Amino acid sequence: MKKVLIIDDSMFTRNIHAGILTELGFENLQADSGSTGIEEYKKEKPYAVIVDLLMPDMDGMDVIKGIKEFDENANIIICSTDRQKFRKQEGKDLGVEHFLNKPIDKDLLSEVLEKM
Amino acid sequence: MSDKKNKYNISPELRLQFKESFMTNLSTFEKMILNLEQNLGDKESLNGAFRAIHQIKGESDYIGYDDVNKLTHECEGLLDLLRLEQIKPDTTILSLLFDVHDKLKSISEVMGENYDEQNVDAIIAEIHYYTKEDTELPAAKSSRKTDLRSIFINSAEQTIEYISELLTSVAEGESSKGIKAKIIRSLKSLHNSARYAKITEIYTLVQNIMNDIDKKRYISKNDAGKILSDLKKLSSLLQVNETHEKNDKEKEAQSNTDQISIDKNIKLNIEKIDGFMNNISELNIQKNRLTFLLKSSKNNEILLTELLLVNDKITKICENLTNNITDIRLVNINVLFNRLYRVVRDISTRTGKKIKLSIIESNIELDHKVMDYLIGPVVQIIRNAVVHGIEKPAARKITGKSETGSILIKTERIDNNLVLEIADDGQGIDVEKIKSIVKEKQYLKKEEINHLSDDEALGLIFIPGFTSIKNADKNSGRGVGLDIVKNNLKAIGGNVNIETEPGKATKFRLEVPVEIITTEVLMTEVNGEKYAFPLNNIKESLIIDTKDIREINGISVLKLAGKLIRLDFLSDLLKINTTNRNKTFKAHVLILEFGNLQKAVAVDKLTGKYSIIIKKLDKQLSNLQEYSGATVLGDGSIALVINIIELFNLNNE
Repeated sequence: MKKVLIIDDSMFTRNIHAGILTELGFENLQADSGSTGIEEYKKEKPYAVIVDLLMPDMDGMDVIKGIKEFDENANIIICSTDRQKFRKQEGKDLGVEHFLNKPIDKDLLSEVLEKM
Repeated sequence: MSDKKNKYNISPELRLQFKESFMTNLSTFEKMILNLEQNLGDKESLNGAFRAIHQIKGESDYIGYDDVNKLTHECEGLLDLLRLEQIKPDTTILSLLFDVHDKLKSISEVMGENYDEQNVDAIIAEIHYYTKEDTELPAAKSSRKTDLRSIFINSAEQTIEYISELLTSVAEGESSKGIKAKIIRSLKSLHNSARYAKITEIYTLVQNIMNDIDKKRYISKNDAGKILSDLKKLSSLLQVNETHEKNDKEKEAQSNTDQISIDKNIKLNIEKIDGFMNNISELNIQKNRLTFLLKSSKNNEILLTELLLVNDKITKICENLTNNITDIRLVNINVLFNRLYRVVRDISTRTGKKIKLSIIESNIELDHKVMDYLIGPVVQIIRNAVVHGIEKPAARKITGKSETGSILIKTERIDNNLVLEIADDGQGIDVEKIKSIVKEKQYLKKEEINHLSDDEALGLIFIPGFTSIKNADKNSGRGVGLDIVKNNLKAIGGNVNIETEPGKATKFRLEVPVEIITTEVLMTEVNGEKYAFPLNNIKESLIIDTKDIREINGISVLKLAGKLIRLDFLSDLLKINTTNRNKTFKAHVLILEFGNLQKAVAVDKLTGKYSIIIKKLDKQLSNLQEYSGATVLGDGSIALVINIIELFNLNNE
């Protein structure tokens, strides 16, 4: 089973996302902060990462930079309630094409994960 | 909402997780806006508040609580403008943020799988006043209006004082350079707040003063005099409003928003549960072993040794379990402290005081029952400190104190007790005033009052009904207060002392045990006195006709389910002189059990089941073997707790 790493400081949200991933046939890994997310990525080298943007310890964009530094081809999905255009652009600048709005749509997530 | 519900699979566990996260975020939000209020530009607090609201919003999207979602969405917008410094935080915005908190809190109280979503339109409309241009402020509900008005009046008084100082210096001939801009700026903020608080007459007057000043290039000596007299008009208008506001307050319902409750759901440390679980599985092993031993009882001597061993182990485990459960019942004192900031903030806002609450946190843990009894007294003392102790900013200034009063809370653990000190730097308690009130209300005789020491006089403020305020208001008074403080603390075996320095400070020192064990009892009355029987020893209670009591060899017996059982009147057993026993009347009888023994005891009255804390009797009374202790009830009265073993012994004499 392919592993997907969820980086989000909300336990509730991680569990919801984990439930969806299980339904879609993915194994899930969880990290509750940006820094542990990067560590977890390095350790587990998952198939994909779903990352939140607003977290207490670091901004999601910095998490993405940290992961990309280690693995340039990492499959990253930004999942945030932050709908401001400049955030999407920031993601694109870092090479992240997939920006899914929270609450996450199961079909959309499935589509994106298949495409990767 | 329903389509969202179908979309995500929300198990009961997830629902609980949502609620827990919601409450954590909400309390973070409150803490942050309290910080923000103390320190208006604080970025950290603003970001913290934003993150908390943002997370609630994100999570509510999944669970499908639309009211929460809508409100947090709008609030996030407001916080964003504050973060981007497009609007400046002021007392009215802060007060709105507190309202958002309170609204979310009230939603959390009804939150569940099928709950009626709350209407959040009114508060959202208030947020829109800041976040959307050209939005008029809606008519706020009356309580909020009152709150706003009092906030406005307090800040307006200060602004006027500030402007007057500037103008007086001009009137006295000093240079007016830069003063016009300063005054206009202050008036503008006054103008805005008056508009927000919807006090039209003040709004108009400020507008006129502003227009007048705006026309002038600079402020001359004469102008200053004219503006000063305008300001005086404004001041008197404010005073009229203040009186209105006070009347409104009195009309307000007695419902007390400052009352705090501690969540009954204890957050458990996983290690504590593990310890508990370990002991339970140990206990199960020993129980199974016991069953096995009893079944295979061929060699009795070996069996006895084995049984003794198992008995030792079970005893040890039971001890551990008792410790475990005591441990699980403990809550951190900080749970209480976290709520106090808001209490101080709300009462000081209403009463126009400036107060800084400092709490030296200590992480002391205490039984949640002790916590239950401690909350009321602590809140009451703090409320008194804010309302009666600390003076208004202007009065403090006159006596050379800083305008901001201080309340300091310290805790310390001494042996098995928690010592909690609440100190304020207010006006202190006037002992002579207490004496005169005591005289006036005739609590004591005149010569008794004259012989009182200061400490004794101070102790009188714990008399029920004692209040130094003529017209008690919502914030404090009505004479219920310190007597309840004393009773609550006595009920858990605690105590309270006061030290005061007139004009300078007051310090309350509370002492309570950190752990207590409660006992379930049945309360009875004999000859008007209360006696408590441990529920464990009561088999049943019944009402009998006294003519069914038979006498055999001078002993009263009762026939119960075909068996004869000895009956005694509690008054006889305890050698209480009864004047009103009526032998041909109905009596309340308790059937007591102790091991295999049974006996019936008659009392005058049963008054109900209670969960009490038994206190040992004082040394000089400890020879009274028939009582295992005493307890203080909610109304301050005392009940003696019957020592059941002794009661069975008394029978045999």
